[in-house]
Amino acid sequence: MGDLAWIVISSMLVSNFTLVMFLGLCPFLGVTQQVQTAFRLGIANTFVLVITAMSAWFLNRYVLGPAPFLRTIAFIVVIASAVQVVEMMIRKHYPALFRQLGIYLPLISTNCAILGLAIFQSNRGYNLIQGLAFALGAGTGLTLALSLMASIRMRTELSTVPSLMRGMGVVLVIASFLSMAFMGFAGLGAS
Amino acid sequence: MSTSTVADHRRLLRRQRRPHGGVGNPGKLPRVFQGYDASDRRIGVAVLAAEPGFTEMVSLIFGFDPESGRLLGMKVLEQKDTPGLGDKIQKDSSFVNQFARAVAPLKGVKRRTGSDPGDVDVISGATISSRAVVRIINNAVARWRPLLVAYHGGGTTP
Amino acid sequence: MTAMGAAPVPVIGDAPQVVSVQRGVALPRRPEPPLFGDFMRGIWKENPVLVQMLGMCPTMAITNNVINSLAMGLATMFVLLGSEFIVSLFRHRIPTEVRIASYILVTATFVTMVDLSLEALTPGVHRALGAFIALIVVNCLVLGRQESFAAKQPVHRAVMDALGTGLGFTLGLSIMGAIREVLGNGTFLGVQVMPAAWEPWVIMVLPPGGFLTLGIVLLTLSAFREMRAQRAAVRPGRRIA
Repeated sequence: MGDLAWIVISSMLVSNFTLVMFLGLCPFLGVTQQVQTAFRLGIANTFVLVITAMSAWFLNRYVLGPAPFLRTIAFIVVIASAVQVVEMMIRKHYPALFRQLGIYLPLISTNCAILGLAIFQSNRGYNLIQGLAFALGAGTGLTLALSLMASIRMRTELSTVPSLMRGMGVVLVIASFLSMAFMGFAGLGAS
Repeated sequence: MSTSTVADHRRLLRRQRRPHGGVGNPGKLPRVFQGYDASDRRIGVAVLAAEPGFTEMVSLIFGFDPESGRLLGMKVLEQKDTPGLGDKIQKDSSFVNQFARAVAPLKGVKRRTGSDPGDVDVISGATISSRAVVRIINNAVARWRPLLVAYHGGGTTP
Repeated sequence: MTAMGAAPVPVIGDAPQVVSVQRGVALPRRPEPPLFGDFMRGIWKENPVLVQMLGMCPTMAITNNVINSLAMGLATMFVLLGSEFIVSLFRHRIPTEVRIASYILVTATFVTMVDLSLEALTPGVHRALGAFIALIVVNCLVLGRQESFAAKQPVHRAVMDALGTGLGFTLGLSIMGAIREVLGNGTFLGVQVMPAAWEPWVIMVLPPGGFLTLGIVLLTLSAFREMRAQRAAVRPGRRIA
């Protein structure tokens, strides 16, 4: 399988960022009560991921050469600024979307998935195209996981859940089943 | 004088070249390592290779003799396959040791009969991981063997 | 401070403070000393993993075995200590507009220190924890403690809170790690504890096992809480501070 194709399939399905790599769990467990909100949050995350991939590549190649230990700090500064810019853009151009996402937008900056993507990309030494493919695959996988969890949660709202399990208990069990389902993708790409 | 030192320092910084590739992967040229024994004779070449396995990439290093195509050994460096099953490609010594006698091109089989020197026992329950190892080694040998044989002119003396 | 709607009750102790009401019964409570209270609160009552549900990403990712859990817990505790100390020290000098950014920068500095130290001192653990050490920076737990506690409290209280929360985090992670390692590997701290004939439940050390273990731990805890509440309701007035 081609290099780029494997990167996309791997980050989207085989090593799904949320269900296998355990990144981005705060929105996954916290913000998945409505499918619409979850889907839009996933799209916003994907956008920020793509920007982060480009910035991380740029930082790695041109800025961090003499001081690799500043990597974490540099990444977090760039991510926080990128999220700020995205928030301002959404507020100006899509006010309805901004109202819907509400408080969750600033939460993207503390989303482990964004920083995690930057770190994985640096460790694996991806170039710009590979990094972008990685970000797109990861964002799509994230959106997929968020939407799946939201749709299942909306159904459990209408079902009888034992009182002890209500809330986090049933969400975690659902997440474990989703994760098991995604284990079925293992081996994809190992032709 | 202090001013000239500062100016010199600045000039030095401007002339310094950034390392190619930055923090991530300095230098993308693939490399192999030639092995010599105590009397400085070439015994084989060590090759690093990595390809997708069951979950993440499987990266391994193996040694082989380019002229005969015989493998000298194999070691899996990194894998994230299922603990207890897929990770046997790294931890099961009987699987790893059989690569010391094998001859490329390899073929994964259920039970080795000894007739074909390229046969390699796959681990039952970890077929995909075992086949990944076989595939990685075959691809790497196919890629490097013609280059190495041509480089050494087809002879065996250093 | 009186609880709403409760008749004044003769109390044992100094100040007539009714702090909590349980199912219509007012329970008197002696005010606990602030430092010790800060410490113990982080360990059990507001345990970050089991109660507050903060810092989920490392909780499920690296709790495959007890060693990794302990290492991650202690690393987070060190970062908490350092960053809460600095934030509390400079709490009057940080302008409100840039406070989140400065908290994150302080945290990132300590995380870099921990990352490099672990890489130098225990490379095996560093490799096992991988990228999650750097992800302590965006751990909601650290930011949350800084924002809600260290920015408002003096230095000594912030340090005790950091110690308590860090130890509570380590405790929560270790419980998860112990369950997953014993069931998924048959070992504890690398030592075989299950009988040799026992087939390990591999799923427990895989990603689904992480979600499942936390779900079952939370379920058990809420079951205990329910039982305690029911017992307290059946026998009112029995609990004295």
